[in-house]
Amino acid sequence: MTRWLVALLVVIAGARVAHAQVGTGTVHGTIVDRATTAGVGGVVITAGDQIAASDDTGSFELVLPAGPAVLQLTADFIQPATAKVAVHAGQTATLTIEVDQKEGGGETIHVEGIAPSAAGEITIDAATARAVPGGGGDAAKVVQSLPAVARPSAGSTDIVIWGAAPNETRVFVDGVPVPALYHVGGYRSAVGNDLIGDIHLTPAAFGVDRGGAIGGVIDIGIADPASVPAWRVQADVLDASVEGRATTGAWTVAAAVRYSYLDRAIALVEDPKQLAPNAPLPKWSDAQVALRGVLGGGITITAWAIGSIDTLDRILESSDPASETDEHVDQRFARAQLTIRRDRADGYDSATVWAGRDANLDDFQFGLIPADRTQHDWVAGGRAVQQQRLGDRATLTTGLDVDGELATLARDGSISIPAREGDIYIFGQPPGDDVNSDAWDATTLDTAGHAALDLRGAWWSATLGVRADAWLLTASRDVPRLGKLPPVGSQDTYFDEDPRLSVQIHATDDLTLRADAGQYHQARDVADTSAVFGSPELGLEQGEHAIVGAQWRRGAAGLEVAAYGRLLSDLVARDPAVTPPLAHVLTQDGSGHVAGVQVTARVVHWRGLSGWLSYNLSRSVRQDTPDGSDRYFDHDQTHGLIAVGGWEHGPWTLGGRVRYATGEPRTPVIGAFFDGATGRFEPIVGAQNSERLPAFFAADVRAERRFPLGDGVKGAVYVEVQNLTNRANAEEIIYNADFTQKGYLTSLPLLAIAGLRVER
Amino acid sequence: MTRLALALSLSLSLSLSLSLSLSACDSALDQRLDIIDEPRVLAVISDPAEAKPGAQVTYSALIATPTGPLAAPPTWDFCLAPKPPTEDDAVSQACFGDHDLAALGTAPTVTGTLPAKGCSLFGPDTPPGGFRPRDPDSTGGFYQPVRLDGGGVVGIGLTRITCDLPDAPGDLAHDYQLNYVANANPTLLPTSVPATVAAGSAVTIAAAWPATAAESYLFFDPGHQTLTTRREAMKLSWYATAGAFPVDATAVGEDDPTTSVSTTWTAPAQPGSVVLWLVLRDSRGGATIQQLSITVQ
Repeated sequence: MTRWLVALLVVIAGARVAHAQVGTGTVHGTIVDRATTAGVGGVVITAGDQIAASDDTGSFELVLPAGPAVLQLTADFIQPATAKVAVHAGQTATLTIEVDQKEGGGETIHVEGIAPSAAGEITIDAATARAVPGGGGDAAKVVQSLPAVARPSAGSTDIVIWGAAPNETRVFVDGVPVPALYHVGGYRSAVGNDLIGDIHLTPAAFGVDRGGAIGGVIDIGIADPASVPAWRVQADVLDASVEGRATTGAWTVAAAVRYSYLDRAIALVEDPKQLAPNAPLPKWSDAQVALRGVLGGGITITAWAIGSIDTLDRILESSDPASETDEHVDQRFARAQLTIRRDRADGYDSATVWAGRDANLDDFQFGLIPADRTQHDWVAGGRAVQQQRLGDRATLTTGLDVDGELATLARDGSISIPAREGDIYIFGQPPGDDVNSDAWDATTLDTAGHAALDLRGAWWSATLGVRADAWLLTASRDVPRLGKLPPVGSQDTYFDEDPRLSVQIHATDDLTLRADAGQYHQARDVADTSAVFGSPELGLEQGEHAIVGAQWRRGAAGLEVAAYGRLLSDLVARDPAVTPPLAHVLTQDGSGHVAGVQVTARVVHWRGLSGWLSYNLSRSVRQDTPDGSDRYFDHDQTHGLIAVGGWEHGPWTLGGRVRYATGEPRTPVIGAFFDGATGRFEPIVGAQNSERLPAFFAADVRAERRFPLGDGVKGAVYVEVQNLTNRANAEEIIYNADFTQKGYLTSLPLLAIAGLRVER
Repeated sequence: MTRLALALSLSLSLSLSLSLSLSACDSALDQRLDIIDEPRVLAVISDPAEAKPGAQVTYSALIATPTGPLAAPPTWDFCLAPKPPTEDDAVSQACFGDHDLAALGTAPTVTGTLPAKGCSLFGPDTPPGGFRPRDPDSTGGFYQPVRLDGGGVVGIGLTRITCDLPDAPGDLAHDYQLNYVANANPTLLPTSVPATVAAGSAVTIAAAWPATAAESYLFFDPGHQTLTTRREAMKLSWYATAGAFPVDATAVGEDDPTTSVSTTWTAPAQPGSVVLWLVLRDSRGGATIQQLSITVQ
């Protein structure tokens, strides 16, 4: 009876939050027992000054200020736990929280909230993400299985969202930009796994609090250290990781480290360089540490640091030594941040400072042709956000972002390496043999102020926002090195004001119609500012996004239809002239447009079943010159279908994933000629991107069995089988030596990976 | 830990099967060029190998067929289309159209005058107004393309053209102009092979060249803005109308003083006459050809 008495008191105390407020969103949750999936009543849920309790079925509801929120779950019969949830004004976030009752022993909870709040937007908690087949238990790998994300090539780390190029989408960790989501080779995420809390994808029309991207935004949330297991050890054929947590007073710290040995495991039997010349076998490692302290007065301090190291050595041998490829890649990054947040009854204040270091080296040699690139960056920034309720019908959120990059770069070799989006690239063709060299510095500084006003009426709500950026872009050399003349640099400033708008009409209790639109800018890549290989005076690229959609949601099920469009302008593109102007090999004459429709059905923990089925119809085209003709975007996929499902039953978790995608465009080879200087054939090409790879189809399954090991220790064994039908999916078109025959480089055959996890 | 070991063992074995499958993908299409099973250009010889624009150059080519050299003479044209810096091919795709060509005639050997604007079209000279100079190859060279059509095949030859160094400091450009020695075609010493071999037998073929064939040359390093002396790298390509070579070519790096290479040719199982060609190329665009004949019994 005690639990029900506590629940009654809590419900009475929390009755003041029974109605929706302006600038707030509703969190509707269900607390279930992990072992039995039965609802758990009498659990106290607190978030800031809001409080609720779960009823007999485990359900509860909280009305919270818009923004990220942390739910604290307590009861004397469960393991204390926390859960993070993104609250959006005027929206209901539906989630299911699993808890372990004390008598059963157990660990932390996890959230299974996959309901969208904006058209195409989706948040996945780490536990759900790890259970998705294809990820090998790595949470952030789920991004490649989300609606709106194009099917990536095998081994690719590129993320293509609604027809946007990989470099047009930005990845953040708790609001801090990181250079890569995945380790080299794409096997694992570079931001770690054990301390990931959730993964949030906004494919377009994102809010004013994010900038520097004209495609989509991926937010990786670091978990509350208190919510991760006391310790965890995990290993499979790819790598092993260790995680640990400690608490002292109000402070909790957690740390994790991961180390790969895939290359050495393969090397036990064969030389990886000889065995799998097309499958990169990199070495990777990453580490994370997170600290969180809850102080008085609603103040929370969080700090974390993450680091990632990748190396790859590969030699592609050839019967002709002039065609041998030798490559050494070394990529590293580190980020650290400190955030202080104060929650108030009418909003919150938050301030973040962060800094980091990137180091990238790529030594490439094709026969006698070199292509070496090095880039070292110091990066730093800060964010300040304040949210304030303005009466009953409005909430104002204001913020200031500062984001700086100081880069030192050097490059030797062919101008066509690496290939850019829009380059005519024939897989396996040697790079151009004309070479050059440059060393330079470049700086990007972005200072942005932003404001968003949330308004709510009886049947509608809207967000009006604007983000104003001031950019300082510099490059140390305005023209190529000329004898002993001292370098003269360039320095340009740009200002833009990007309006963003979101309107929702709540047609019925279950149906919401909405429209989102906005304008976006991003700075040129510092690597493009070479006076020899690029253009020092490149500025900002621009995007304009619009989405209209309808969302229907009832209970654990939801259906969403979204039509989207993206206009891109001032894109950095090659100058196709045979003799381009000095220091202007790259122009900003590129443009593009994307249009598509996405239909997504979701179910959230219905009888242990969670998942989504999504179909995306898309057309993405680009123009490299103002008077040029449209061509398909290099990663355009007309049709994309993905079904992901997970079913939890007792100690078992079973998952499946099915993917279908149109093949990407490629440029056909219509002939070949013999190059007397090299003794090789070279291709004569047809119309750019006028043929496609065959369609892709793959089915993957995953099974996990958990078992108690006593004294609160739990083990789990999982097996994941990828490409269940053993279909030979084409990843690239390959040719014989004189280009008279063509075939396909196929992706992974049926592949099973097993692993073990032990945690407490 | 037994379960862990089992899991890792399973993963490892399956991952190896993955790797084996991937390696199998590569062999699906023939990447070899050593055996002549259809008419193919094997080499285009420019004599001299390097000259200034406006100089006279003589071209010859080896077009091989499964029965020996092609008798029909090819048609020759200078290509006058410069290559955009973003194209990976050695020459512009426009070289394979009907425009931007200057006819040289149809004959086994033709002589023509290198276009006077070669250093503007294909070299570092730019028109007034601030344009980007073309990039040299990895040996610092620029090349005039010549196209040949014969026997249904198309080939491109390249004559290295001597141009100035507009991007170098004046003193270095002056030194370069004074001291740079134009490339000369390498030569091969006579190669001896048995006149008759048994079917399926292995024959060692050793090719050698004089030490002077791999010339030293002056090179402007744009990264360090210095002049350095480098030595040509050499590559010997092996061709035959039948049989098999273990590799298509054997290379000697620019730091390697070796002046000979060898390989093993395996005679075909069927008796008959086999033609072999050795093509020696230096890294500055020079080349020479040697033809051998062997009877397989």
